[in-house]
This record gives sequence, C-alpha cells and structure tokens, in this order.
Amino acid sequence: MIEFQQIGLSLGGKPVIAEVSLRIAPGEFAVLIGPSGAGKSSLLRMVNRLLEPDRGQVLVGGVPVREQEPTALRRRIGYVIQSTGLFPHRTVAQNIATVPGLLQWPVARIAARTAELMALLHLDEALAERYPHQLSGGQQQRVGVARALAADPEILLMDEPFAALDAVTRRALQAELLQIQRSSGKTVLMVTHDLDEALRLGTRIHLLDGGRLLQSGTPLELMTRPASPEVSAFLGLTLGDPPGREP
Amino acid sequence: MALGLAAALGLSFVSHAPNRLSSGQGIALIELAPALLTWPALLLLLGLFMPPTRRWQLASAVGNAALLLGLLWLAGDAAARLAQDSALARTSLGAGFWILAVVCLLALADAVQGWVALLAALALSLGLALLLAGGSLDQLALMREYANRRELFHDALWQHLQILLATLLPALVIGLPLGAAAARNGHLNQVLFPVLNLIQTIPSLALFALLIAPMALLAAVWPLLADWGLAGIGLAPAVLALLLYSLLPIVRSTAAGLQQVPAAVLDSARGMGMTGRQIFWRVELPIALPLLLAGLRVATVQTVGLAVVAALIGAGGLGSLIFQGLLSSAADLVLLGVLPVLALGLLADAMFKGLVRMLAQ
Repeated sequence: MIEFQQIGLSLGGKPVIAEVSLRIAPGEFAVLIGPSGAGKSSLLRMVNRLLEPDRGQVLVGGVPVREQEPTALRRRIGYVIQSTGLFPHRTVAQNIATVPGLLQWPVARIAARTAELMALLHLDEALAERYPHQLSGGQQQRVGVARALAADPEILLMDEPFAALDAVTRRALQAELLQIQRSSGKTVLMVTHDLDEALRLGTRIHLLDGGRLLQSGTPLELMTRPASPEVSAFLGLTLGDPPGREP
Repeated sequence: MALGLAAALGLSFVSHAPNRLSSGQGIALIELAPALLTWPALLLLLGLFMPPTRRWQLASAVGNAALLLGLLWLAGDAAARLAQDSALARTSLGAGFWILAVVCLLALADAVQGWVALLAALALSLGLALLLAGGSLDQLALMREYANRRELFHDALWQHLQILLATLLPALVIGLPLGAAAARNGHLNQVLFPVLNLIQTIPSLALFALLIAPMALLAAVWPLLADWGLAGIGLAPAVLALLLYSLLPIVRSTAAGLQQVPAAVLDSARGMGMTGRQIFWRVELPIALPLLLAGLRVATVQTVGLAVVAALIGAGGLGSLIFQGLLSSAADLVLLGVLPVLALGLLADAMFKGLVRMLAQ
C-alpha cells in the first residue's frame, strides 16, 4: 500500500533521513517509533507530499506519489496531527465535512456521513454545532479522527495523535481506533514516541533512530529478537542507555 | 457630578443674541425651568451613586435619555420664544447645555451595555428625529444655520462620504494583498512597516501640502490624468493622502491577523488537500477577519476625522463648513460641520465593533 524506497532527506545541510526503505501492506497498522529527531514525522509527511524527499521515492498504491497530483492524493488519505489542527471558526460538523466538501459530495450525503462518523467516534449529536474551543481535548481529537475518516480514505496518517491527551482518554481512544481499524481494514501509518502505544496498536513496528531504520517487525519479534543492542536498549530490555537520549 | 450640578444651576444654558454677529447673553437653566427640570436632574445625578443593580441601571438609562431629550426640547422652546422679537435673532446652545448633555450621555453609557446600548442609541436617535421633525428645534441657531445652508450642508455631507469611500475602497484593494504579502515575507515586513510608520508620522496638513507640487506636475505632464480629475489641489491629492494614512492600520491588521493563524491549522488544511487559494479564502481569511475589521475600523474613523483637514486643499466635505464657520467666527456653523463628523465617526466605530462581536459568536 505504502512503500518507501531508499529515502534520503537533508534539511539545512543536516541529514535527517538516510537510506530508509520500508513497505506497509494493505490493512496493516504500521507504527514508526523512535526518539525525537529520528525522522519519523518527516517520513510520514512524505506520504501525502507535505514533504518531498531529496533521494528515493514513495509509492502509494504502487504509483510514485511524485506522479500524483498533491491535492487529489491528500484527499484520498486521512491526516491526523497531535494538536488536531481543527478549524477554530468552523463547527464540529463543518470540520468533519471538510474533505467531503472539497470533493463536492451532495449535501445530503455529507450530512449523513457526518452523523455516521460522530456516532462512530462516540461524539454526542449535540456537539455538532459546537466550536472546537468548546470541546475537551479528547473530544477535539475524536473530531480530528472523524474528520480524517470522513471521505472514507484507504490510508490514515497519524502524527502522534494522542500524545497531548491524559492517560485515561488516550487508552479509550486507542481502543476505539484499534476497533475502527480492525473493522474497516484501513491501512494506518502512525508516528509515536510512546512504546506502550506502539506495542498495543501496531501490527508492525518500525524503529528509527537518527534517520536510520534500526529494525522492523511485529511487536513480538521486536521484543523477543532485538536486532541490535540499541534496539534492546530502546525497548527497555537492557540496562543500557536507549539511543538518542541524553545519558 | 458637582460640575454637572453647577452647570445645571449656574452656567448659561442657552445664549441669545439679537443677530448672528454680536455676542450673546447667557440664560441659565433655572431661569427657563426652575423646578420642572432641576429636581429630576438632581435625582438622576444621585442615581449615579446607587448600587449597580439591573433595575437601577435601567431606570438611570431611561431617566437620562428622557432628560437629554427634555433639555434639547427646552432649549428649542426657549429659542422659539426668544425668536419672536426678530428673524435675525440667534439662540445658541450654551456651555450649561453641553455639560449637562455630556453628563447625561456618560451616565447613559455607564448604565447600558451590549444590546441595551444599541436600543438606547436607537431610542435617542428616534427621539431626536421626532424633535427635529416636530420643528421644536427649528429656532435654535444651529438649525437656523442648517436651514440657510441646506443645500451646502447636504453637498458637504455627500462629499465627505464620497471622500471616505474613495479612500477606503482603494486602501482595501491595496492594503489586503500588501498585508497578506507582509505576513508571508519577512523581508517585505521589514521594509514596509517603517515606510508606513513614517507616513503616519507626517502631520496631515504637511502631507496635503507635500502632495500639491508632484500632483500638479503629473497633471501638467500628462493632460490625460488632469482630465481624470488629477490636480495639485482638490479631491485627488486629498484622497491620495488619506489613502496613504489608512494603509498602515489596514496592512498591519491584515498581516497580524494572518500571522496568528495557528501553524497546525494550516498544516492540517494542506494535509487534507486544500489548494493554496482554498486555504486563504476558507481558513486564513475567516480566522484573520476580526483583527482585519479592527484595522478597518481604525482606518475608517481616522479617515472621517482627517477628511475634515482635506477641506483646506479644496477637497470639500464637512471640513469646508467648519473652516467657513471658523473664518466668519460663526460657532454654530462650525458645530454644523463638527456634529455630523462626530456622528459619522461614532457610527462607523459602533458598526465595526458590532460586526466583530457578531463574528466572535
């Protein structure tokens, strides 16, 4: 579904990503994990062309994204970020209806889809006419996820979506996301620095550090067969310092 | 409050003169209406010290509005009685009236907020309109000046509005893109704002004068421009100067409004597949709008006031009435020019504030 081929990226002369190749199968819940500055978000943003790699290419659905029109590509891919990026001047319902609106769906279909998504994300109907600043953090992120799912994209990109939430809300949203992903069969690519989250949600985990891919595998494979001392340190399997962190 | 009280009792409420040129003789309020109005007025002033409960505020508002209209009527009535001697006689509103009126307005503004304030303003306007239509103010010097120069006044008011429109529309057309560009481009930002700030510091009269020579030259070199109305004096340099002044508030507020759009909002807008144009019109502009309107409000109010000075270089407008009045030391003619300017400024201010409040909901 998504394929990174020998990606390289430098920002301001500093290498951010060096030679990363990885492949995400349809229906997979892929997690990119690693310390900050590992290049996770940069990789994610290359999928919907918010960022272009210096070297290598990204394929979505077997076609290089470079050959796909950015706006059309982005409308086919759901996008959720940590600070939600909800439109402050639009109501919850209007926020959710953004991409269907861009795709010029008929009004009735948009209304039906919005109601459906609010039910799916356990958002009370009464919230439809509220504005984002009137919601709690957890509700805001539910709207963020609903908005990303609105046009029924095959791929969902999530950049640390739950990092700003309290532990209880995060757990609830993680469980709901997992259920939605399982029942819909969507391909999810999530960036996180929270190992707990990665192990709970990911069907496949890609551990990055300093712009390199350290290891890819299922949670079980990572935990039982860490490829290097760095990996086992990051996973907390040894007493050594995890990579990328100050001693 | 003591001031208001002194004004109510002592200072001249209206001043009467046998003709337009001689100076008038003051008549105090107690001479006009000894008990009728002074006592309720006293009570109202006391009302200011009452606890600010809703009921007291409402009573104070109604009372002050009624008092204000009553004072006006009283002045008009006195003028009508005094005018019986001769058609040349002039009765002007005196210091006593103005102070009382200001006290009333302040008390009124203090008592009402939000929608009630709007209602109070409407009620006052309606009362004023009734007094005017009923002819009870006709004999006041202000209205006599108006009656004598009805055409001139209407022309001046219309010209003033034209200057306002001819300034603000181009200022928006130029200022919005300039502000949008400044919000994105730091270099432009660093060049643009010092220039606009510099313009703002030039005294208006000096700027008008500075523009006379180059504009006259342009008109002389290209007669076509002169045919379009471009000249050293008159409307063209006035509008150009006012335009330059109004650019700063508009450009600055546009840039500030656009810069306060959160980066995450822009990122998610792009990530959802909005085109650059869609992001501007559907996301950036709506979020920037309250600040932008605040800038437009400043520009409008400022232009209403500065356009008065533009009369000095022959642009016309209400300023021409004011300067005519000043030159012939006819205070009421000055007033006839000042009051509409004041009203226009307040109206524009209230309108934009209302718009911003509506948007905030």
